[in-house]
Amino acid sequence: MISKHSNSIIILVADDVEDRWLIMEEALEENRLANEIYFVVDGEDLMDYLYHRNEYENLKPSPRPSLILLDLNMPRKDGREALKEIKADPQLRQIPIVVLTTSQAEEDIFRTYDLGVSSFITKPVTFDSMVNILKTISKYGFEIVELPDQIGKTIENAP
Amino acid sequence: MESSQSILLIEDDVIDILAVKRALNAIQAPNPLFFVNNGEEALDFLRNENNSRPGLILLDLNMPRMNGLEFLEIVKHDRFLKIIPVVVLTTSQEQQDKMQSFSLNVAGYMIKPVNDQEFMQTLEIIHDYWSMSEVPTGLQYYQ
Amino acid sequence: MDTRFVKVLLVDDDEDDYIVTRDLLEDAQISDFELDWVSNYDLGVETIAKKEHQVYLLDYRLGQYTGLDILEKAVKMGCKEPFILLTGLGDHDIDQTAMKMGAADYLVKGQIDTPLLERSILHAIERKQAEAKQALLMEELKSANQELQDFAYIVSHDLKAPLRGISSLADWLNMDYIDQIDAQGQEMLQLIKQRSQRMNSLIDGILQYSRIGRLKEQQTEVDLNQIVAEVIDVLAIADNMKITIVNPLPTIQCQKTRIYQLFQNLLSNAVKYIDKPQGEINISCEKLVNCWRFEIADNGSGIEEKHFDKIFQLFQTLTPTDNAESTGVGLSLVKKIVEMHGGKIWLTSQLGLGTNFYFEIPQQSHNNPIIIENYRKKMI
Repeated sequence: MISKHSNSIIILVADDVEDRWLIMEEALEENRLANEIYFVVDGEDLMDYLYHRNEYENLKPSPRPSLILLDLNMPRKDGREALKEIKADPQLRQIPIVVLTTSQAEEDIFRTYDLGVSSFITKPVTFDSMVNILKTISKYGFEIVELPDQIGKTIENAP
Repeated sequence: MESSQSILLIEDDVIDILAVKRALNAIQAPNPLFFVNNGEEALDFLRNENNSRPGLILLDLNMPRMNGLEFLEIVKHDRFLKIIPVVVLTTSQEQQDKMQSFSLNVAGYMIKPVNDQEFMQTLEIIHDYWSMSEVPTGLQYYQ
Repeated sequence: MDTRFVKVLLVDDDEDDYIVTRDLLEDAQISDFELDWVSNYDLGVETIAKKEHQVYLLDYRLGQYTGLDILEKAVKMGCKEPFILLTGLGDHDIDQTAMKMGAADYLVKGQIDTPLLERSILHAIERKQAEAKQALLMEELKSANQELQDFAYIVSHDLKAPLRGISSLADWLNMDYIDQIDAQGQEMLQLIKQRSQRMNSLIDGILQYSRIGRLKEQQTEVDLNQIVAEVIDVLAIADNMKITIVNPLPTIQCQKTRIYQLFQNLLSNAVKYIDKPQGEINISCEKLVNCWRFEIADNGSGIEEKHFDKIFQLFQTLTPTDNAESTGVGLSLVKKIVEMHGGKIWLTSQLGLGTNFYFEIPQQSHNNPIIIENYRKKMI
């Protein structure tokens, strides 16, 4: 698949179950979907990554993601709170966020859309369906969606 | 989005309306399609209690009376309407339009393909993606 | 501005010099001079700010300051009138510095007579006026150019929408009503389709052409061997075509994507018009005194001399116009790119034998204003 975007595609996955990282990485690689995939373990970690704080302070690169795949139920700071913070920051709010979670609670669906997620997708159980879902997300998000130029570049004015 | 949920197309160009209809037919999308010609009509449609809330909005940017960005500005600040996912479908490749749209939380920004075949493929990808995504249905969480 | 009556300000800490200067100016033949005098830096700056004089004479030595300090301050304040520095004998460094900082002239004290002073003042004023006029013209040209480019860009976008509609309708008629349309009708539909594709290519051409002016790229060091290799790779030419780089190409200062487009258009153009079973294209270069000259020679069909100018004009082709691939944009882009780099392009050709394109890129590349006459003729 050839992406129409000249910037490299960077997916940032926020998920506390590290076992799932491997599955996602393989699924993404199987589809050759992203140039780079980064993982963070919880909302706290996610915000550190986006603001280049703590362990990401000197870690270059922690490039601005083209897309964030966000789990909702994570320790320390959960996806809902992280989402609220990202969407309240004018520098970050343009990054598309897809909620990828096991939750099917109507309230979660409502609240996350209310906060401005791009979409809400229920996490599948099998590897094959994970591959399929990520394929559809990527086809949609990177083949036909036109992102603004700024997305994909490093955040310069992060507080 | 469930197959019973509707898609609202906001588009002033009859040929583009026809193109979307044809594409959705060709991929056998079961969702009912409604269309209106500009942002004002769209707001009337969405605020009319007789219409069920669409699962997805397809939005053109360049329209008379109330254009797409003006519509987004209102919808995304309306606490009842902001939860409906909006996908922009436009000919504009201007950075300014993309930035503004994403700042207003659109769930996608697509350039209308020139070629009929590609138009159909684009609609197919949009439909696949939204059939897989959950979208809000209930009204019970409004406070 | 009338130069028969000229108000002059002298900034000089020596009253004797004032008297000498006043006497010199009183003897002037062409103009009537009115000389005002202030004796230090602060008064000088203050008076200059009032903008009551057409020319300023500055003594170099002004207590703790110098005439150059006043010059610097006045330029910062946006003073548009000319300055003439009065220096001592042998102050060459000061003279040169003054000229660099924008002084109109310098005169050596003690060697000034009336004709010299008068001529210096009048020349300074005239030159300033000419400069101001030219700056204004440049500004107008720049803004007209910008408007034209924006216009082309916006119009092209607006033209595309109806075109897409026409093309779709032709497609759908063909799909849905094929049984009801006879052969002649189907041919007409096909023609609609072709014409809209051609119009689409033309609009893309305008967009491409106007984008070159809209987006200025940074000049960088570019290895042309690498660029040309990439272009040849992308062109994916047929087996019976051979592109040879005769001698190694240089690394030059230029706008990378533009130079890429230049070679891409010249080479694809050469490939397109080869009519021999064995196509040969040779790329070579030569270092001249202050530029590089490049040559792209082909053994294609050749071009008649009377068409030499025409091929560089926008939308001019020498082939029938229904060919969607050949829009007449390629070579006009090439010319524009060469001119953007301050160079020139020309060709020689023998009908039936082949064509040689030559272009020169100056070493010290500077951004010349783009000449837009041809473009304007086409657009309006």
